[in-house]
Amino acid sequence: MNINKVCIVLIVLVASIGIICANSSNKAVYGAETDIKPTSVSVNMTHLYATIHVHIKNNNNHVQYFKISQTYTDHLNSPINWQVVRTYPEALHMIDSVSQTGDLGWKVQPGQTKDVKFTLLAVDSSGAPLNFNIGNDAAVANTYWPLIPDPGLYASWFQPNEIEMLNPSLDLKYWKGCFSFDLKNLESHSVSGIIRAPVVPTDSKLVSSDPKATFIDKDMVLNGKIAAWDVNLGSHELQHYEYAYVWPSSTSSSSSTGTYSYVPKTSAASTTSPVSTKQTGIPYIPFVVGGILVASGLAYAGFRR
Amino acid sequence: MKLSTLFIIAGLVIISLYFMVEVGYYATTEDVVLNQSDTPYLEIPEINIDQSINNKSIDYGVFHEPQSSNPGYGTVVLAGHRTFYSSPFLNLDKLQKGDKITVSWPGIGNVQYKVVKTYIVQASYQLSLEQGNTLILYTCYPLGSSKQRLIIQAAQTKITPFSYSKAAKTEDQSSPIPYALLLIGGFLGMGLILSYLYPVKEDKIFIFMTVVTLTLFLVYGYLFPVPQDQIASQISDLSNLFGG
Repeated sequence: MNINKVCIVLIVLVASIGIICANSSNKAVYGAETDIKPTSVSVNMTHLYATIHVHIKNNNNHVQYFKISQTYTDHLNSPINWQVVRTYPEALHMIDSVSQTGDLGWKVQPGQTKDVKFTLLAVDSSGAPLNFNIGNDAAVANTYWPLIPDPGLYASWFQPNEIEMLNPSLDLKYWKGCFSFDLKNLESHSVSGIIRAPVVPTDSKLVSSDPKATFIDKDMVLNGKIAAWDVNLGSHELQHYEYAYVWPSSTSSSSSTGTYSYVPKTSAASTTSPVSTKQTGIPYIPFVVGGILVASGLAYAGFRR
Repeated sequence: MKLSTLFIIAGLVIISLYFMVEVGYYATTEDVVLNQSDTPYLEIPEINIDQSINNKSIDYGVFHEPQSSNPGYGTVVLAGHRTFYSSPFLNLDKLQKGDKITVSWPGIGNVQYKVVKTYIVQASYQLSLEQGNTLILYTCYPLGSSKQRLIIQAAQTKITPFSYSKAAKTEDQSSPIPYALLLIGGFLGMGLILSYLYPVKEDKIFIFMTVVTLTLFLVYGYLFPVPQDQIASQISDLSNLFGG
């Protein structure tokens, strides 16, 4: 057989195997389980509450306010708004507010660590408790494939310590979020599937769940440990779910997926340790060597002719 | 197969790694800025920088070190590549004492700085985050090497009400140029010309097949961008192999 033909076949073969292997390895990393997909809207999620408990310290030498807004907008498959329904101790009304109904806040004296609690209710645009239909149409068009959930329930995530980046004078010492929601089957037949926690703080630890979470999904959001339940709802059955996270997670781990969702590690305002400089350039030498190889190959071939 | 053919194939493979870095960069950056109204910008008129700042990765342009402060609240650290990845800090070494820098940060304002110091340190240097209201810009030094870092230190002078830079306004309206596709087309075009001009007729097919195969890899890298830091690390290893 002609040696040239053998070489051509080998090049094409190696290239094809390379592409196929790269593709299949990606699938192996992301590999999600297959779930039952409802053929019509069958389950409603309602009464989504979040009770947040924080210890916040003012590191500045003058008074600061720890503020919360009535407007925390996020999406499941439709926009949801978080309405503040309870605060402890009673919050003050802020002068400069981002929400039309007014922001709330607590005064924190210099060096003081304030202990506050507030409860939020997810509501729709009309102010009524959110009634979220989990169905096929809930699938989110999203280019970040690991964030496409099954069966259509979006796991919304956030960083509890984001307040430190927004206001570096405030140092988050402790954060606990207790979440609850109801699931109701609207069909006259039973339905099954995996439901993930609708709101998840990153870099945090799941400390309780009722009923106990079937598993914790660490691959959908970087540094996010999403509680997930294997749910079976009988005809028109209603089930109540609760779960709680504490920040920071004592065992912070990074996932191999979700590399586009960069989430900073724990960074308290008091953290002032130096940072390493990153590699900010690619060496030219191999490029020059590559060019020389091509040029010398051409020159040598021309010379031999 | 002639020795010269092997030389050219090896050279094309190495060069294609650089193309892969750039193709990956342009294929992914359009997804980084999700909400234009929340995006801060860096403006340095002296060296024609007017670019968005991201907090995801240095591989997406000018990067804000998340452990550093926001402008107006302490030491701000920004980093950028000097070569490839659109080279935002290519001319950073041309900045001089007294030059003005503006960081437009939604929710804070247009924070203005004045360059007070430029210096060069080893790559292992640790940046202090306790330098008051200071802006630190850093990139690689010298050009085409990653052995040292060029550091620009600028002191905050004033904060004015927020307004978008020219680039921010333009980017909001214009549609992105498909640089990644242009690069792939360029690589294919140059490769085809090379295989056409190659004087060893019986080996032309090998050059042609290599060019087509590498172009397919670039197309794959465009459709499914691979982590650029992995390719960059392979290039650095190659550089070390060549004594760089």
